[in-house]
Amino acid sequence: MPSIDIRDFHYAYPPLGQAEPHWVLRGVDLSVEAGSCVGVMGATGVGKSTLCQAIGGIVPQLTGGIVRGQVRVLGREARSTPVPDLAQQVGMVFQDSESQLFNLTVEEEVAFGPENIGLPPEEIESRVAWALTTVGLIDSRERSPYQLSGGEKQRLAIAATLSMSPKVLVLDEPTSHLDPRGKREIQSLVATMVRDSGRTILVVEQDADWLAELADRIVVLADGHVVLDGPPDVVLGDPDELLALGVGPPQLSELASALNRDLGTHFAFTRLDQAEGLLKEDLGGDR
Amino acid sequence: MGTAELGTDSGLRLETVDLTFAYPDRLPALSGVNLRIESGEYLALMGQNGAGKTTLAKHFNGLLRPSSGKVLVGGRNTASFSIGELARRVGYAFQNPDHQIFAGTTRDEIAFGPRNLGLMEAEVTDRVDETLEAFGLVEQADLPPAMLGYGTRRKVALASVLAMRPQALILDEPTSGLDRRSVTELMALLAAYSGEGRTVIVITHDVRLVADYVPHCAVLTSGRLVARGATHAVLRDASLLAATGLDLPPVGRLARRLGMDGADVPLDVVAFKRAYQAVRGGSRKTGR
Amino acid sequence: MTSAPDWYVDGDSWLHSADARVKLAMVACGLAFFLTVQNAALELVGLLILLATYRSAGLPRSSVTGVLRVLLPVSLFMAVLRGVLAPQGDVLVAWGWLRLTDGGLAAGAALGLRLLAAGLLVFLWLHTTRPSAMIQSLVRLGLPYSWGLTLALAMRYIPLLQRSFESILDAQQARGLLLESTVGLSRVRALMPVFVAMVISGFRSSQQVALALEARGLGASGVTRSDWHPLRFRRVDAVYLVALLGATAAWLALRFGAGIGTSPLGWW
Repeated sequence: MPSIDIRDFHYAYPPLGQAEPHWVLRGVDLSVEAGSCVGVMGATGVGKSTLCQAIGGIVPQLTGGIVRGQVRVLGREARSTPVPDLAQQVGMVFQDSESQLFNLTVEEEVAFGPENIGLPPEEIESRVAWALTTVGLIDSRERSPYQLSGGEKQRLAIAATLSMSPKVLVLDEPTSHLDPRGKREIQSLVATMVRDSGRTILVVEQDADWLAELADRIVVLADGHVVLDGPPDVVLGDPDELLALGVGPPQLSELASALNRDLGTHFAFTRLDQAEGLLKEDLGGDR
Repeated sequence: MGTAELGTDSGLRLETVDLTFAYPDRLPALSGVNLRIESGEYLALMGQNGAGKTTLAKHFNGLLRPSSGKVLVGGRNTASFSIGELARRVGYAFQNPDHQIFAGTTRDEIAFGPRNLGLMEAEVTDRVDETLEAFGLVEQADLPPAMLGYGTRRKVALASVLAMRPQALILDEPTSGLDRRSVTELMALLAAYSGEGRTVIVITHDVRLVADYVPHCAVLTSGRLVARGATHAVLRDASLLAATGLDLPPVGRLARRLGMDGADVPLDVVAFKRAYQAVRGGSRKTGR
Repeated sequence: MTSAPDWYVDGDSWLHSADARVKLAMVACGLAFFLTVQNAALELVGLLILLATYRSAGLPRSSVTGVLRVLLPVSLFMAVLRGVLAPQGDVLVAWGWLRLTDGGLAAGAALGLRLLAAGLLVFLWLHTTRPSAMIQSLVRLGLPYSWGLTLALAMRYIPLLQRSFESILDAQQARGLLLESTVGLSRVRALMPVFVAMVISGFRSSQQVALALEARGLGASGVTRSDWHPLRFRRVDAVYLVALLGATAAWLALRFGAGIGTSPLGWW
C-alpha cells in the first residue's frame, strides 16, 4: 500500500460570493511508496502548498474550499481524519518557520507535539533528545528559538515534528529564505533522514540544484495537475521543457544541454557526481 | 536643494566613509566600511546572513545612523537629511511585502509612495497606471493586495517602491521565494531600471544570480567589506567565497573537481563551456 | 540573530523553584493586600517587601526599572488626579477652586502606589514562572488548556508585535511616510498605514500559528494532554502557601475587623 495515494484530486478555494469557484488543482494523481523521497516543483501559485496541506488534511478541513477525488495517507482518508490525529502520522513543516515556533526554549518546542498526544514524561524526554540530536541542535536545547539562525530555526521546526515520529514528512519550501549555509544544513539533514529511516519524505522546492542531489523522484505540477513524474535525471534533464513550465532547471542540466548543442556531445546529467564522472570520461578520451 | 546637486538626473552616488555601526549593547554590526557606489552603478551587496548587508543598506536611506564614520548620498552627509527626504531619492524594497501592504486596492497601494512625494493627483494617476502596466498588475488594480498570493504581493510591494522612481534603488533579497519566471522578469526590470542611469543595489547571497545578472558586487563578512569590483573578478576567488559563507554555483564546483579552476573559476554555463572546450581541445584523443 | 522577547527571566532562586500554583497564590494574596489597604505608609512597606522579593529572586534591576518606566507616569497621573478631585482633611494649598488637601494627597499617593504594586506583583510572577508552568497551574485550577495556551501565546506575541511595528514603521517611512512633524492625534492618523499593515500581517501570522498548532497534534481525539515537566508540590511549597494564606487572613481580619490601614494619613 503506498504511503501517499492521491487520485484525481481537485481543489477550489472558497468562492467569494457568487463568483465561479477557482480550481487550483484539477485532477492530481500521485502515488508515493514508503521510504522514498519525492521532490515537488512548479511555478508559484500552481498549488504545491495546497497539495502539501491536503496531505495533512489541513486542506480542506481548516482552509475550507471544495474538494473532489481522494487523498489517502497511510490508508486513512486525509479529508475526513481530524488534522491533529493525522498529524501523528504526517509531519508538516511550513515555509515560514518563524510562525511555527512559540515556546520558551528549543527543547520545549520539540516537546510540545509529544505532550499534545499524551506521551509520558520519560518517553517525551527520549524523543526530544533523539529529535534534537538528529537535527544537530542538541547543544542548543535550552536556548530561545529566537536566538537561532535561519537554518537553525528551520531545523528546529523539523525536530518539532520529528518528535512525533511521523511516518510521512512534508517540507514546504524549507530553504526559500535561507542563506547558503542554512541550505547546506537542511540538505544534509534531509539526506540523513532519507538514508536512515523508512520515512517517506515529500519536499516542495524551487531550487532544482538543491533538490536534484536529494530526491529519488521529481514531480512537476502545472495547469493544476502532474505533468512530469520520474527520476531527477529524466524530469530535470530538459531545461527548455522545464522553463516552459515555469520551473528553473538545475544549472548542470543547462550545462549538459549547452555542451551537447555546441560540442555535439550527448551528455545527460543533473547531479555533481554524475557530471564529474561523465565529463572526466569524455576528457579521458580513448582507453 | 535641487536634484542636480545630488547626482545626475537619473542616478545617485552612495558612499560610506569608515562606517561603524552597533546596535545598543551589542557588538558592532559594521566595522570601518569604506564603500563607494557610483551614480548609475548596478551592484550586488553580498554575504551570508548576519554579515551586515541589510544593516549597511539601511544607512543609505536614513533608517540607521552611523555610530561613527559618515554616509554620503549624492555627496552630502545623510546626517543633514531626514528619513522622508532620503526616501524621495533612495528607494528601499524590503523582503517581506506584508510589512508594507495596507491599502484597500492595489492602485491605492502603489499610489502611496508618489502621494507622499507630494505629486499632483493627475501625475500620481499617471505613475500608477504606468507602473501597473510595467508589472503586469492591471488585472489586480482594484483588488485588495492583502488577498493576493505571495508572489503577487511581492510584485505589488516592489511596484509601489518603483512608482516613486527613486534615483537609487535598494532591494533586499528580492528573489528569495520567487519562481524562475518571476526571477527572470524581475531581473529584466532591474536591468531596464539600471539602463536608465539609476543606481541599483541588490542585497543577496545567491552567487548564481549575481553571476548571471549583476555586473558589480561587494562582499561583506562579519561587518567588514572584504571584496569589491566587477562580479566575475570578485567571485572567481573560490577561497573568498568559502571564507564568506557563499557557495560556488554548481558549474563552479564541477570545474574545481575537474581541475579546471586555474585563473578563473567559471560561474555560469557559458564560461564553463568555453573553459571546457579549451581543456578538451588540448587533451582530446581521437574517437571514443 | 536577535534577543529573545520573553518576560520570563531564567534563574534558580527560591521563587523560581516554587510551585507555579504558589506563585499564583502570591499574586492573588498580594492583590488582596494592595487593593484593600488605604494607608500610604503601609503600602510603602508592602512595596519594599515586594522589591526585596525581586532582589532575592535574583532579578536584575532592569526588570524593576522596566516596569516602573511604564507604570510611573500612569501612577503619578492617577495620584494627582485623585488628590485634586477628592479633597479630604486639611487644605495645604488652594488655587482658585482647586484645593490640595493633605488627605487628598495621601489618598492619591495610596492609589498611585497601588497601581505600581499591582504591576510589580504581576511582573514578578511573569518573570519567575515559565509559561508552560503557568499554563499548568491555571489548568489545575480548572481553566481549559486552550485558554491557558491562548494566554501564553498572547504573552509571547506582544513583544513580537512590538518588533513588527518597528519593521513596518521602517518600511513605510522608506516609502516616504512623514512622521517628524506630527504630534498627538495627527501622529496617530499618520501612522495608519503602519497600524493597518500590522493588523493584516498579525492576522496572517495568527492563521499560520493556528495551523501549526493542529499540525503538531493539538486537540488530538481521545487523548489527554500530558506534561513533560509536571508541577510538583513540595513540602516547602506547602510552607509558602500556608504562610501566604495565613498572612493574608491576618491582614484581612485586621483591615476589616479592626480598621487597620484604612486611614490615608498617619502610620496605618
